[in-house]
Amino acid sequence: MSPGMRGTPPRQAAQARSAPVFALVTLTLIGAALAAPWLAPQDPYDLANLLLDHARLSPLTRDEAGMLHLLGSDDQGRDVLSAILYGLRVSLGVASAGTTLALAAGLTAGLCAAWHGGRTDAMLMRLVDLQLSFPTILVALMLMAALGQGPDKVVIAIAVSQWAYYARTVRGSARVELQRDYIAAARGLALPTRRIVVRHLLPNCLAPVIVLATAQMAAAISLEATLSFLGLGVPVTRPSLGLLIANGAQYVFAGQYWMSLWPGVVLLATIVAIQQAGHWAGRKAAGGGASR
Amino acid sequence: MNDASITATPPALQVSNLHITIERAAAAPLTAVEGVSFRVGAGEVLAIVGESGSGKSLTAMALPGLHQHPVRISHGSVRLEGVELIGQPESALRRVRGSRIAIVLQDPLTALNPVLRVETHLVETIRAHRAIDREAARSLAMAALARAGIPEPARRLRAWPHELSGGLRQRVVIAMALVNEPAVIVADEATTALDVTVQSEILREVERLARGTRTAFVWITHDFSVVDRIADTVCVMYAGQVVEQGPATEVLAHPAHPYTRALLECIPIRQQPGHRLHQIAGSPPLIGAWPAGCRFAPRCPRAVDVCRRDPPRLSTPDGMTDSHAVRCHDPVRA
Amino acid sequence: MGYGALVRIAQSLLTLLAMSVLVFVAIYLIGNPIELLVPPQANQAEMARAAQALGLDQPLPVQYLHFLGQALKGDLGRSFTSNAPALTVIFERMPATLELALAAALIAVGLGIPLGLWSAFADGHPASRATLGLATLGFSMPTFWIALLLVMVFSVQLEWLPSGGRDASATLLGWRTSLASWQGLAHLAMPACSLALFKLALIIRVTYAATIDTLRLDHVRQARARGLSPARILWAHVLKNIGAPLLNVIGLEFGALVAFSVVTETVFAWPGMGRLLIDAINTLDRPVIVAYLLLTVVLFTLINLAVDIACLAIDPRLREARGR
Repeated sequence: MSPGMRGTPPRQAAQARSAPVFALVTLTLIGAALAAPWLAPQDPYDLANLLLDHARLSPLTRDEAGMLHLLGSDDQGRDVLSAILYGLRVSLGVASAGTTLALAAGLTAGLCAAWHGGRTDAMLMRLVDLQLSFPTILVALMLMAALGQGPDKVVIAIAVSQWAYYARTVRGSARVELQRDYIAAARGLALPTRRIVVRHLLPNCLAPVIVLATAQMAAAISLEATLSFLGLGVPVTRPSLGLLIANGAQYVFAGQYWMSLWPGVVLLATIVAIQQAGHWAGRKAAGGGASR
Repeated sequence: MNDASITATPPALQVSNLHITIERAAAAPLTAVEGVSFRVGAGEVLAIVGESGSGKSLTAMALPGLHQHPVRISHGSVRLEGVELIGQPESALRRVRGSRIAIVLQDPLTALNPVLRVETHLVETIRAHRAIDREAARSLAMAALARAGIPEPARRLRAWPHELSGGLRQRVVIAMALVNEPAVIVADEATTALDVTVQSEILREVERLARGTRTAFVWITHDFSVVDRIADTVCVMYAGQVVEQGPATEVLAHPAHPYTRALLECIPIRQQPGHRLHQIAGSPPLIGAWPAGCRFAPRCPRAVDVCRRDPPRLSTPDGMTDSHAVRCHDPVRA
Repeated sequence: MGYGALVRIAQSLLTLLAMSVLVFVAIYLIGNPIELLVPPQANQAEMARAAQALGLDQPLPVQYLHFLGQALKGDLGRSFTSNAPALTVIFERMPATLELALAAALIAVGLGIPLGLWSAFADGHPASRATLGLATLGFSMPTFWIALLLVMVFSVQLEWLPSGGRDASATLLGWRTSLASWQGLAHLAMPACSLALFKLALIIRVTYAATIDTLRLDHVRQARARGLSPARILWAHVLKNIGAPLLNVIGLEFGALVAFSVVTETVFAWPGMGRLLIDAINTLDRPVIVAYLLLTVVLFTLINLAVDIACLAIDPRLREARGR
């Protein structure tokens, strides 16, 4: 067993080849979510469509009305494909709202820590360390227990459990940028603090944060799905992918797998595609040298 | 070096016609080292001199068979105390490494494992090759530290690497090489990372060890002043080939290859005060992208048409000492 | 080392204090705090009396100190649903969760470290690349989704394993556990595997990355040049060096396993404290929620502390840096 040192280039090359595929899948999924009302064969929120005699039809069967259920129907008689498209909308919506909020909070905290330094910095970073030593799911569960359920609460839970990652990253790059000449020049011109931070410092710290945001977006989707699966997330009337999986789970034991399986496949595809696309973007940003 | 001694006892290390290639996934392998031959007797110091990329470090790693994919010895022979190493299985090479042939790497900061004590490094090296108990190994380790010129060896034995200075660490690495009393120690730029004064002390130690313990040293360096200090014989490498070799005094006094000459002119102390330091124009070729003809021709002030067309062979021109060879169509005459 | 460990312990106590404030603020102050302490069906007068009796008309810091005092005495109130002390309810369910988390940790560490090491040693080999690729995929899989897939395959299709519940009828050293019988292990297999998968993927990747970095270092080359056996190089010059970062990850992740068992227990109807938490959230059984959160925080802090101290023992450089 000799410690092999075969070069890594082939693997990177393979990743570079598959990366555009992941980016394409991501865009397709986002497009499908946005266009759900036009793409979906049925409106799953329309109570008129909840017919129990259409319930739990297997994939590729037609109901009495002659409608073809490509992926079957669920226990309420909803078309699974339609429910997935609308569910994807909810999942992506909640996750991106949570990610945006976390990003905003993290950016503010990170810039604040880097700009003020000293005690502010030490306190904020101690808080970040503390938060990061607990898993996100625990933080999220604690919040859901305190706040109760609902999409807005999930958004808050995502933001609270993720802001620390952004804060740490932003602080790191902001501290590097603060050493550079252009900041000294801006300070020399006695520009107002707000202007230096927003117009000069912020744009130069964004690249690593955007990369992180893509990875965190995947994590946010997973977190929302998990909370909804536990029944602590979005309401049953407007199910996300996670809740669809939960609803179908009880029928899995009866062999009626499709109600859970297909939403799960879409969920997994979404997470993997976004994560890989982000990974690729990160490598590009890192490999592209100084991003200025 | 007389021929009678070869038949009596084989030299500590004899390398003949060594070729090292770097394999590539979709292309023909690159030849990085081509036809290197030298011999080092017990108690002698051989210096291999060259710039980075000349193949000197590849040659050093090849001696105990430490190459890993994609680098490989494609041809040649390495005889350690008369025993051929090339083609030996890994298990046999492992028995030789650290016991008959040892290596000292360039950077003493990284050559020691930060999470192991000095003692562990030495004791594991001893016990990898000899079936003795920990106590006996510890006293051998202490003796090796003392031989490498480390004061208070008993205390240093318990030290962690980060507690030692760079010079002390390099002495520990040398002690690690010495500990099993090998026939050959290969040092790859072993003093480059150290301060000049520390470097000087260590070179003195090496000289003493070579004479005292009859250990053969292969000293890889880019610095001719080191050659001046310790070497008995010298190989000058350029672009994967030996361009000049011979007794150190001979080569230093009468450099025959324009490259050797140029290198010697780069050393400040050898020049008159006020004299401008020389630089060699251009940069060495990349591995595998060797120029046709003489590989030094593009940078050589003396190059003529034949140099750019025909590769010169390593030979001893008339009027030069027998053991002194040069690879040049038009060697510099003293 | 002693000094470094003391600093760690002090930091841990501070963390605990900070977290108790957080839990107090989160659970007691958001919404009506009295609802937390009296049954939901209590009337106005009862609530006012309870508020006064419990000191809820006092200023906040006083309330917090009271809460802390009670918590230190082990009194976190009584469960609304079972009327048993909240801590007792949690402690009853804890062994099942710890058993699950431990089994998952064993799978993740037992498979993850060797696979990560092997992937690094055979870097570039197709099987190594496949392992790392699967690890990346495992990284992306939500735990509950893995759990459901396992049920679909092994319970519904193949009918090899029971789809839920725990069988701890057998005892091992006086401890009722699933580990002591085949039936128990069959029930444990899928929950443990699904819980382990994410951590397995993580440990493979971390081990791989750390090993690759270490193999490139000079001291490994030097170790080979000294004729050490591959086993010795692996143990003393690779594993010992990556030990500290690896231990950090494993320690943190064991805590995460306990937290994530909430999800696994829900899918497999595993009677642990995670399942209890979900029930408590759904029935607004707040004393149980508080007890769960505080216990988990204590558990986490203890794990972090143990890991930090273990790292100090492994890596002499940390001792230097932190001891001063």
